[in-house]
Amino acid sequence: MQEDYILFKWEQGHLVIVLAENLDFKEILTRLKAKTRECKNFFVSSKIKINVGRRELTNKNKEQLIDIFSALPGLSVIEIINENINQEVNQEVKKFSDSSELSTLLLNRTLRSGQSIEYGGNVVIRGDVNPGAEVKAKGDILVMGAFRGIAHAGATGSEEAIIAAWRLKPTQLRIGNKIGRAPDEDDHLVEPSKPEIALVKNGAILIKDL
Amino acid sequence: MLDKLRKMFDDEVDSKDLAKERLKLVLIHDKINISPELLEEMKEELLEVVSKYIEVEANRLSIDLNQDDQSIALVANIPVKELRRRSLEDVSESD
Amino acid sequence: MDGKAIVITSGKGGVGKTTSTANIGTGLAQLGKEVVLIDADIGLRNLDVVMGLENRIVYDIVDVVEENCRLEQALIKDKRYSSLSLLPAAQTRDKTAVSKEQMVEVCKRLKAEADYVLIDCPAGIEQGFQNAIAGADEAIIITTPEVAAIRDADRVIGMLQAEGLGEPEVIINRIRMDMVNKGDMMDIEDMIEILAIKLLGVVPDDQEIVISTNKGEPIILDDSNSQSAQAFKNIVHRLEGEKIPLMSLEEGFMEKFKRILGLG
Repeated sequence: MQEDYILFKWEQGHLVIVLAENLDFKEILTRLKAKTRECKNFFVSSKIKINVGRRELTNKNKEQLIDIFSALPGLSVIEIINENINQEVNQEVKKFSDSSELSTLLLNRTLRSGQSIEYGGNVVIRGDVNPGAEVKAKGDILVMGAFRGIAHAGATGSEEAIIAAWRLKPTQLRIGNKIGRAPDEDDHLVEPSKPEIALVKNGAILIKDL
Repeated sequence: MLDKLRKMFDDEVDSKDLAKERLKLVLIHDKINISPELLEEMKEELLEVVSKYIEVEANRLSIDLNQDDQSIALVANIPVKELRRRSLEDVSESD
Repeated sequence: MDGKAIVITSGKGGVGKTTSTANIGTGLAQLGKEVVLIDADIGLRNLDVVMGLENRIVYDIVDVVEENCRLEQALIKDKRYSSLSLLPAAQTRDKTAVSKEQMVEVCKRLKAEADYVLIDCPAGIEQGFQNAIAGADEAIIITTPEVAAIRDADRVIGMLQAEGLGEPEVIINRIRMDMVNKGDMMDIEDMIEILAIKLLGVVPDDQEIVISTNKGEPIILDDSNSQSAQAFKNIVHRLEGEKIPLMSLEEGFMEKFKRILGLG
């Protein structure tokens, strides 16, 4: 019976973890923690999708979920899917975002080299994104810190998406199918001193003051 | 200059020679897989056997592994005090 | 074309595999050769940064083997030489993301198009190393004049021989002739005697390398002819089959003579 609260299955190269809707979230966390500890090598390098059903998660809940996996070795991608995604809109984050139909993931941490976040909505990061880290979002990406890694906003092809950061010094920016990269000559590169925003204009990625 | 001179007159070994010797030893041990403890044990037993026949200076005994191009040799250096001429002694005693 | 794949390996980390791969690859391209560099250090990629190509990466070797893109799409053209390209490692994955068989297949396909495929091997002797050497026809060992580095090199030579890469050649990196002359560093003969393999070249310890790595420009591009740039050029010519004598790394005979006399 207990086995059914947390279900693991493989789907198109992803490890999908389905969390029962009718169990207390705290209990879910404890059980998930125990499970991952039992077989931590099982998760090495897998792309993980966590299906929470119709359960409404706060951003804190989401972070707790991600934290369970981020301590494991070699994990690359986590995505949280919600069966009824519209229920989940955080007012605080919504202010920054145009695409109100997408949910938003708030991360309170710095992403380091080799870490990556992939999310089917907007991503807001309260921390830095270091070189070698990657953020991929279906919607917008907003970083309340220095962005030095690779960002892909509008990952499913939308060129309406934006990438904004307190200090925007990316290795590479992608919006929809457009790619922009840092210039090769360091000399021209002025250290940004203001928050900036990147968006697609006339078929190219443009960076301007926020 | 002073360094050079000091080294010429001192017995002090250059650190590169030290490195080379340590390296050779480490590599030989890596290859034949004998621990220093085992080597020590072998030394004791060798000494026991050899002492039956000849009087040796046990404290100056040394066992080394040497490598030339293709093979590794076990070299035991056992200074001899004097041969125990056992057969002769036996004769004299019987007299 | 039917080129050869050479793995650049060391066992010990931090002895200069990536720097050597970047310089040898660039040097071969300078001679007009078609060269592909593979960063096999999945999860800790570095060759892109040493080559100054990190901001151009869209796809990587994991994308290729998982068929998210075609092999040609993942190859990044060098800024300076069009005959040089890089197949980057994935940064957000680990060594298990590519199998031995997949590595062999990638090398085979690249060899069909290039004169040289240089594989930058991760440190260690675990799966990443096994993968990196799987597709190689030849091997270059990088070591430094330290006991630990040479011990690891010796171990790796043994493992390469077991894999049929029987005749690796060695590059001795970061040698300091001032220390060798004082007897504080093992000299070249000492090391070759112990490793008993062919010497491909000797690269002096050079602070210019740090500067070139900062800029993302391999030192071999440097026209000022620093000793390390010259050393890598010689190595490249030797790989091409030319007989180039070892360059004199001493400060020149006269200077050495003077120093012994206490005049230097």
